[in-house]
Amino acid sequence: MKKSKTLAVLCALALMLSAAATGCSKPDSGSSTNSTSDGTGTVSTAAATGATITLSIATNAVGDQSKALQAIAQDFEKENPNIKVNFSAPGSDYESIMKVKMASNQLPDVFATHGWAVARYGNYLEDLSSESWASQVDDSIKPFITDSKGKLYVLPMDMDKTGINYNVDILKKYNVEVPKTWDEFLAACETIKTKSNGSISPVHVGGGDSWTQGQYFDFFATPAFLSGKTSYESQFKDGSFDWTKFDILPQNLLTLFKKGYLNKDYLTSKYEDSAKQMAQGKAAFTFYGPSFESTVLADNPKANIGLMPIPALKSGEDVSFVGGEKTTWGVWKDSKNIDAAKKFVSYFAKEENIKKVCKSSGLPSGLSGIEVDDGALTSYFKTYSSVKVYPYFDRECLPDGMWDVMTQNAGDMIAGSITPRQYSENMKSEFTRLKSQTEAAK
Amino acid sequence: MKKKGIFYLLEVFIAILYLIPFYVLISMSLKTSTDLSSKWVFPGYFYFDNYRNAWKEAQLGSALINNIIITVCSVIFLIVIGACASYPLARFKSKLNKFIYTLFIACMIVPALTILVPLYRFVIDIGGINTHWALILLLVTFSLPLTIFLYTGFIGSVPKSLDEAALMDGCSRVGIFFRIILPQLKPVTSTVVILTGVGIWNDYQFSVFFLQSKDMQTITVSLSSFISQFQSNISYVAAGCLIGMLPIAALYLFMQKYFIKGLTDGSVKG
Amino acid sequence: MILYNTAGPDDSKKIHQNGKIRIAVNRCKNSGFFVNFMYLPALILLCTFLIYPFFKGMVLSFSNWNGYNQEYQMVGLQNYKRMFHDANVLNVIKNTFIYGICSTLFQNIFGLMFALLVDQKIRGRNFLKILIYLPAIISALIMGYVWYYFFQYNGGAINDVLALFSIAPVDWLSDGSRAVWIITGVNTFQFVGVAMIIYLAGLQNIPTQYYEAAEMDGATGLKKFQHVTLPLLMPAITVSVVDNIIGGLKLFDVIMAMTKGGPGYSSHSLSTMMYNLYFVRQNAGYAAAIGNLMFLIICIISVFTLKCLKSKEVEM
Repeated sequence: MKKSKTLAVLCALALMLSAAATGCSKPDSGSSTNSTSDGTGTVSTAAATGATITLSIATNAVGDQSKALQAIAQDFEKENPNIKVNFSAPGSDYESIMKVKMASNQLPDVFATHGWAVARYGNYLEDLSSESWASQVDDSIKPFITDSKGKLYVLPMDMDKTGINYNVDILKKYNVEVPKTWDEFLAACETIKTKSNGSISPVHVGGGDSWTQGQYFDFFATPAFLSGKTSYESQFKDGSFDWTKFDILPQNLLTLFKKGYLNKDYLTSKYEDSAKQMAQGKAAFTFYGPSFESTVLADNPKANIGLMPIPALKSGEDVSFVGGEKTTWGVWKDSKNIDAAKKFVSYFAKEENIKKVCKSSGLPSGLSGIEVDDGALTSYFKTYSSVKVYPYFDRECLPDGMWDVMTQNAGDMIAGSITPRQYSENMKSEFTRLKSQTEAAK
Repeated sequence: MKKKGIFYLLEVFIAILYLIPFYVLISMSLKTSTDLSSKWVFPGYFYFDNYRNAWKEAQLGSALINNIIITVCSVIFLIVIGACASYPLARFKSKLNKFIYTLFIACMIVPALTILVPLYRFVIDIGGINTHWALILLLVTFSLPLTIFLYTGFIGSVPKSLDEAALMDGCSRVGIFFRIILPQLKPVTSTVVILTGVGIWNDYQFSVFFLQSKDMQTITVSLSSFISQFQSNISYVAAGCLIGMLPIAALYLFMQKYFIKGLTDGSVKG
Repeated sequence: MILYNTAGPDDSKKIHQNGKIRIAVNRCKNSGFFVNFMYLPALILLCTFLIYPFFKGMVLSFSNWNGYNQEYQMVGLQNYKRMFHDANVLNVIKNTFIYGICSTLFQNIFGLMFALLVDQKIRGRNFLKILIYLPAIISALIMGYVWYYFFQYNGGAINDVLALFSIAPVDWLSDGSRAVWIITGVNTFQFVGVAMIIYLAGLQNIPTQYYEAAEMDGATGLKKFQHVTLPLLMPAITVSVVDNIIGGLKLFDVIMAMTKGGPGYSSHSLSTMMYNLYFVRQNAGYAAAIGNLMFLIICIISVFTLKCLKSKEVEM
């Protein structure tokens, strides 16, 4: 019958196409044995036999940073013809994908830890302390990526040393000094706002991207709780912190908003809008850090962006930088290609490659003894070389998962749905919940 | 004739409304990243680099091929399995079958996220991560409820007298399906192909987790990571979006007669 | 009678000749026993890839899993208790209803209106038909991005128009409740074409005699619509409404592309909230509980809608 013929043809077509599909899904068309660690190919024994190994690499980096990493990975492939690299940079979905992978206990061979090497990914990482480059790890970043037992969790290619970006031209135009305390900062904002008749937004936050709202908290928590006369670090760590003392932090942000120092579209604008506004000379301060500079320069190569340490909360206290991990590689401890993975990581530890990575992120090298050309930023790092670097507040003092509590509550607060007091209360309840979760997992 | 005048006015208004988003998108995609003119202003030049870059960076060529393979296979399996399943459910309303039918339809409600992690673990165990066949099975499964809903509705409207006649001539029940019912299913099959095919082509929630390497990914996944990578360059994003929608839009424009006919034929009887 | 390859007269003899077994098999065949096996592949697929993971996922709602650790504990009804006390949940449920029910309402009302318009014998109606349906085939993610560029504060297309009239720019998506309606609007814009096509088909299937009969009884425009068009369109309405409602209640892509559920939690739907709780807040147990709530709500609403509409269907 005509119709059964058509059905037969359809089925044949389907079978052909699915054969093509399964054919396409094998990473290698069967000539040599193949192995990847996250289920993307058949499993085989290690590299010793000279068979092709496929490494799965994943990073949260985007844009120029990801391009630089990928280029180095391709160089590695050229020098190691029996190792193929599957480079994945999914962007904003990175963390979600990693979480699903962790839950199913199938991680990439090598992956980026974006600040959470110990606290989140720690249980999945191989100890790298016996690697050739391990002794070169810079002392200032060592405490963030090692534990008391001496385990080295990741290769730190660069070190985050971050503070507030400011538009040098605007400050010069209105004769504003780089503020060193919170009161000076408020005064600077007021000057800029009034003298420009409201056409320049003193502070720009691309709140629509969520993480951007958390930046303020991480930055200013340092003078509020860590670098001031009293350090509350231990109280956060043992859970005894009195959360009524936290109100000052959200309160100050709300003050910035109420006084009109924040951009009007705080809640919906994005990171790239901050870059555009800075590039066009319509914003003076942003809370992003060194990597922001290259984004602004892409929009306006003539822009003059400076880096300043975070102002102290009270006069008489010191300014500070925030720092820690930025671009890292960790090796999955259950990787089926552990030797090849370690080789990959060591390749990135070479001086010329470290320089390339640092140039793309605008940060100093994570391995000591390597001079990096960060363009205009180098002079700022030199000027402020004596400023103390504190760890990221949310990584050091808060359990894993608090970052998003901070950002979402910030949005609620600016939108007017909660008060700073409620903000602190919400922080407290999530803090308690997440802390007990991390305790349980240990 | 006044009536016709109003209709024409409405027509023009609605047409403009629907053309605006495409106009803005095209105009954005042809500008350089430093061109900050209003989105309404069409650039006086054509900067095609955005398209070239988007195509290259998002690897849209291989993504397109992947999309075609996945969609075509999924739809074919879906039709075969779905039509076969719908026949007994439409014709033999035993208690068991009624229960099975309700079960199938209820599956339409299950959101993909609730089953993501157990599913992910399961697919790893059967070696299906980053393969096309596993994704095809998943997409077929998730489109089955709607397919069965449409097919059972349609088969229900085919007169039972045809079945009876065939039975009297000694045809088996299964035979009835292949010889009587199947030929009649062309209209609803078109509807199914269009509704599910478009959904599968545009799928994001499964593809993003189950397809990991760039050479296996579909257009929506490649485009999404491309957008997060280059979000500061909205011209790139616009160009990427346009290329992303081009294949299926082109298919639609060429086959729109069949698209619309298929949708109408199948839905009325259902 | 339809012609097909029938069993010839000799075959019935063969059946009798080969004895009781053959008859039994035939009887089995005729009673439709084997026919039921036809839905086995579908059943296997659904059980393996959908139902089994679904129940496993449900179990998670009674745990305190954070979404990625290998271990977690069972905490009984803790997540459900939390759900009752969570101020955000009520707002999110409200949003979900708006996304689902209002989207469906708008899509179907406008869909019907567009269908009536396109049914008229005017020039360019084919072009209009194609244009209205075009957004429906584009990925919702892309559509969300395109519209985001309209509602941006700085440089958004709409604010540019306002600037022309010297009106101050508005930050459209900064107010949660306003954002919900905007997203509903975008969703309607995208999928109204589907409803239109379904209704167009329905309209074109109504025989003109019915209208003529109504006219003979003295019915005019509106009355004709009420008593002829509407009742005979019920099957089309059922399909369109049920499909739209489930899709609208599950709305995800457009929300993520336009506001990500923000500011705060104000424009979340239950499905985006679930995604947020799972991946961003690392509270997979609570996310699973919300998921179950969503399943329940969608179940109740769709069954209710289906029953309502089916009862109004009229046989042609």
